[in-house]
Amino acid sequence: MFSSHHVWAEVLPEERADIGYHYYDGGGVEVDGATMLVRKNFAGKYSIYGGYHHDSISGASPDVLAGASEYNEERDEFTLGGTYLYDNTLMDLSYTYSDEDDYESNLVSFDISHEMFGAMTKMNIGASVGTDDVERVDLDSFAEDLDRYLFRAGISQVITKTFAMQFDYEATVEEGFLNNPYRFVFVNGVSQGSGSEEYPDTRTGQAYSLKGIKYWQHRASSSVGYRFYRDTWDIRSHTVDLNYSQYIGNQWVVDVYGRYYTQDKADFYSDNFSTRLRYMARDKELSTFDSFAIGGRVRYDLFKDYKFLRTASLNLAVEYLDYDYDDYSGIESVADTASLGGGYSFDATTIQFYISSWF
Amino acid sequence: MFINSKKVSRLLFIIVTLTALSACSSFRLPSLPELEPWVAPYEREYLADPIMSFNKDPLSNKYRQHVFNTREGARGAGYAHGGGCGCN
Repeated sequence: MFSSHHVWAEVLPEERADIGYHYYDGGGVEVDGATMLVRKNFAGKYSIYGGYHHDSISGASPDVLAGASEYNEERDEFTLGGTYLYDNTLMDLSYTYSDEDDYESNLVSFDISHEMFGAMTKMNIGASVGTDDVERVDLDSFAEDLDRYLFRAGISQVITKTFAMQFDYEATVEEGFLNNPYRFVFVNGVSQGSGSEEYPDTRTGQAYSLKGIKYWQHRASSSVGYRFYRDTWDIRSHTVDLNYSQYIGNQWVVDVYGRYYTQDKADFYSDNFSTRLRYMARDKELSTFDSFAIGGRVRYDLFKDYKFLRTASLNLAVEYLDYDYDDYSGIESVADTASLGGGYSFDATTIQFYISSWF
Repeated sequence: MFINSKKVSRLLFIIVTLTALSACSSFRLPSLPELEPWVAPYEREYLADPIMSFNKDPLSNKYRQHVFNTREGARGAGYAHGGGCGCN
């Protein structure tokens, strides 16, 4: 309530700083680390922002385990960007760099949004170009790369005084080394060894999403979102997102959210191939599965107008995730191959704690 | 010289599209009726409330999106674009 977030009038994004800690535990993997995001505006029309995210990863999921022994890994991600406001148009340019022992990623993004019809409608288009380097921690001679092109367009529309909708489209084109260098496939129950996956070297995906958000007079809002995705590997997926936010008193905001996701497998995925094929994948990300998530977030506003800060808040978010695979068995060793075919599932918990401040 | 028919048809498509666009723009469009916003700026108090933003917690959303992106086949039309793999 303290911050004036004028979503429907073209202004620079809010000046704020967020710093926090995140923790993930599930499916044999633990990830935690620090994260932060800062934005500062100048002269009413310029804005710069920077972000940092650290992942400290231990363990490995079963589809990688037989290829690479359990390990510890660090990932650092840096983002730097600038936004320029000109009349009813916002332009944004950003660069993201991510680095881990065996993977390096660069992404440059440019986005324009423009408000029209008395600020009832907002359109945006954007594009990103990225390049990744893929390596193996156990093999110095291994070096592959991957190029990525993204194109997106969207429209936000005020429908009534308390209801708004948003449509988004995004195309992703990837070219290069798209498989995991460690993962292996089974052919007739026989492991083909680490790095035996073989993927096509291009992938084009298209995502369409439609969201609606409604304000309720008891100081609450609810939103529903749906996304459809399909790609040239024959993966089709549906995602449904729900969120409910409620103010309690003057200092608390409580969010409750849920998500359901389902997808069909890639046409070259199998848990156990009957014969060697040109393309073979056993990444559970490309299998047939569904997942649901349920979570909540609590925000507590600490004060109002203290020195140079308008307000600051403490936030805690906890989410429970469940993944259920139809045609992935999670089998790691050749001794268990009788059970190949399906039936793996795992659950996970994420925790985020962060402090937000607006100035 | 070998001519790729796909490239030729793509080039033709671009030429035809550009010609059509320039032809359209050379006509004077009839003046459009002034669009009146049916929700006036002073009626947007609720829409401007922070809880009416799809991305009111950018840090938290970006993290959630990354958790899902690294575990699922679908991507795009989400909130944020991250980098890296973190996919083991």
